[in-house]
Amino acid sequence: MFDFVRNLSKSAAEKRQEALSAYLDEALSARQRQAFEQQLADDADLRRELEIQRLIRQQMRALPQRSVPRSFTLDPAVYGAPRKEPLVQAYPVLRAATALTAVFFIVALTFSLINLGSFGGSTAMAPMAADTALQESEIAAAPEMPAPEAAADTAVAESASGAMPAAEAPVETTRIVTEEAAEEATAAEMPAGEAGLALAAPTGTLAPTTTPSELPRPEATVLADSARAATLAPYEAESANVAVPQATAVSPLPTAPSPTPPVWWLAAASGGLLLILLILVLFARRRL
Amino acid sequence: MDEAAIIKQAQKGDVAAYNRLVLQYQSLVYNVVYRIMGEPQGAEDMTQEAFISAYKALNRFRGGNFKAWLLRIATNACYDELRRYKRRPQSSLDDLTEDNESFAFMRSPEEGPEAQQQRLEMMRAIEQCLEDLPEDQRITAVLRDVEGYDYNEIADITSSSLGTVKSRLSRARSKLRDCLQGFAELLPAEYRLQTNS
Repeated sequence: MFDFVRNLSKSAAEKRQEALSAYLDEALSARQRQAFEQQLADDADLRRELEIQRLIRQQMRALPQRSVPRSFTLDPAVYGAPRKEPLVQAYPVLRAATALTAVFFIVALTFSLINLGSFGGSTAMAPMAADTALQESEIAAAPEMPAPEAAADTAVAESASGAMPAAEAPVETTRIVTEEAAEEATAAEMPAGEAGLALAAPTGTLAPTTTPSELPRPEATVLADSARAATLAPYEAESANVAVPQATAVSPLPTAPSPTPPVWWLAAASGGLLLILLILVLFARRRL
Repeated sequence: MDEAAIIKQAQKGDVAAYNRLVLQYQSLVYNVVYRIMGEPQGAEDMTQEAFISAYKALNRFRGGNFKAWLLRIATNACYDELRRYKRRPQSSLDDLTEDNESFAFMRSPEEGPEAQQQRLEMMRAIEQCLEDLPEDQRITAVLRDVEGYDYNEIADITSSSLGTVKSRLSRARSKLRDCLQGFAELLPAEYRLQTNS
């Protein structure tokens, strides 16, 4: 496999030289030999090069064998029995472990890349989401409140504002309130990306461009209910204006994706392990 | 007694049996090691080290080509030695004299003194050029062109693929050709002109 890859990077001159060398040793296949002989017939320089290589090889074969300066036999008094073979041979075990790790690494990497494909959109939007989130609402500042209840309140607030133009003014008020919350959250040193991603979902409930299908399921359900309740908007809008910051603040954010999927860590860890095993295999192989 | 039986005896700790193997292969191992190390003293040390290492590791030998296994240990020992001291092979030109016993057989009564001298110089040039090659290419060229091993044996000895062997050999030969052009006067007249490289 690696030979094939290496062949791709060879220049035409290198390939020609290699073919010439193999031809000299009669190591070409019948088809390769036929092609090379055709080249030889057409190229006088190549014929000459072949003759020179043949001559050099002949001279090298004629190098004299040197006589051994002394005997290299071992003294039986000094050397005992050869070392016992270990029960578990390191090399085959390491080689098998390396192969398994390589397969795992490829699988993990493939999943990571696939995940990145579907995940990339969300991560690409993270800065925007973070920005929007910081403008509209934030987690940390608001008092604790049970999530479903909070989501319901948010939904009611939105439906109220969508159904009745008069409710726009209270929404503006909500933004002012949530900006303050955002400042507090920033002060609480929450990681920006995490905050942005975490808040992407609740922001979606407020953003006009967000479709209901993009919303987390519980909220979407509540939103549907709240649409029906929109007819009661004049009475509920007021309470919704108060509820919005709380709702966005404590939402459990069930579908917010993690910025670094665990599969990346698996790929990185298996890659590192693979590297270590490869080094050990090379070391063990040298000791064979 | 065949080789496999001798190896089995040696694996049980029979040093005398192992010494029979040493006597059988010491000339071969020494000559390969000498071409790699490029000097007699280093070759002697590495040959001894190779036989000691091979004996200690004899239980790891699981049949097959003992000669290739032994040569693999020897070439690895040479690699390690050359890297340890970051040294290039020492020139052995001083040893290549007509008085050296190793070359006594080269003196042919039919060959005139001039022809003998030319042949000797050609050998010096080849040795010099071999020493200038990178280690892996030198080992491959020595095993193939000096010792006459086939590609599969070389791949086995050097623990590399056939493609790697072909590639190394091709590069080694190309470099040897370029190097020997510097000794053009030693080549027969018809080969003295530069060729396109």
